[in-house]
Amino acid sequence: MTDTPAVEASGATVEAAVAAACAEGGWDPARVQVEVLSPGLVAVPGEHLAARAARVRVRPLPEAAPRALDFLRGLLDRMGIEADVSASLVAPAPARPGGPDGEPAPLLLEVEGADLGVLIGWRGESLRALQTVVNLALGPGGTGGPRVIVDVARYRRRREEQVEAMALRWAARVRRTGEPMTLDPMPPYERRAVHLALADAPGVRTESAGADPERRVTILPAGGGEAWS
Amino acid sequence: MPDYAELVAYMVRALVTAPDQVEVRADGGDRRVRVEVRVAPDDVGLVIGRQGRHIEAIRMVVRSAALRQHQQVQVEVAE
Repeated sequence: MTDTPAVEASGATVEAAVAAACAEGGWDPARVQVEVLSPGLVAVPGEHLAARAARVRVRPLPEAAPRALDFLRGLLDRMGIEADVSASLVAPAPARPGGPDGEPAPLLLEVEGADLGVLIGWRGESLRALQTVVNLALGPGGTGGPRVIVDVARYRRRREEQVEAMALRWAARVRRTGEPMTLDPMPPYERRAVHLALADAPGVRTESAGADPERRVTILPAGGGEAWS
Repeated sequence: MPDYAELVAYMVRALVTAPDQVEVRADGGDRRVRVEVRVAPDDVGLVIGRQGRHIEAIRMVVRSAALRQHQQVQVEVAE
């Protein structure tokens, strides 16, 4: 299970709370991900200030974060594309059987801006190329997986949500018919979304077969598709 | 319009073991541009990648940049 250390701290303002958390964790405030648990003092015109403490949860970003950000910003600049890039940690996946253990959460670089369709491309192919190039520039990490996930205009997030919704419908069909269903080839993060969406679904299990980019997920009735035997 | 030679050089230099030996040249007109990359002999494999995976990603990024300009850019590695 991914276990990124996090420190929670309070302060008069969010900045002060972040500073306190960074001091406790021994981290550079420029290289952390901040989750605001309570914004603290909020000025409401004409009303009293509620003297509440700000509370934050702070996690350190991977060592490669500044380099990854610089590289991607430099790349977009040279592509003639105006966009903002921000770094955060990918939400850790729930532990699953056979999943990689103790793997550090990858860094998520989110690109936001107007008219970024060319960065996404047909079914996300340009987005995947961008991610490949960023990972190549960073060099090999400790584990086999990508160190950096690139998302553009929340394309991946939206696709994951779509794939999850479809997975639930397909699972219902497999349960009803008792017949396995093999899906179209999908990139790794979409397959992962199917596996995760159906990890706890009753009456079905999932498997992947084939080699990228033709690797496909099959949804099977739980018990190995023996409904007919 | 983007400087395609600079764009390709930026990606390739970040990837190879000998960035000072990367040379990139672009020729062509308004619609079609050809970019040629020269790297140290030991780095050719790295730039191309297994089953061309690396050079295909580099080409795709260049294609994305060129799409907005309605241009076609061809990227070749000199061997």
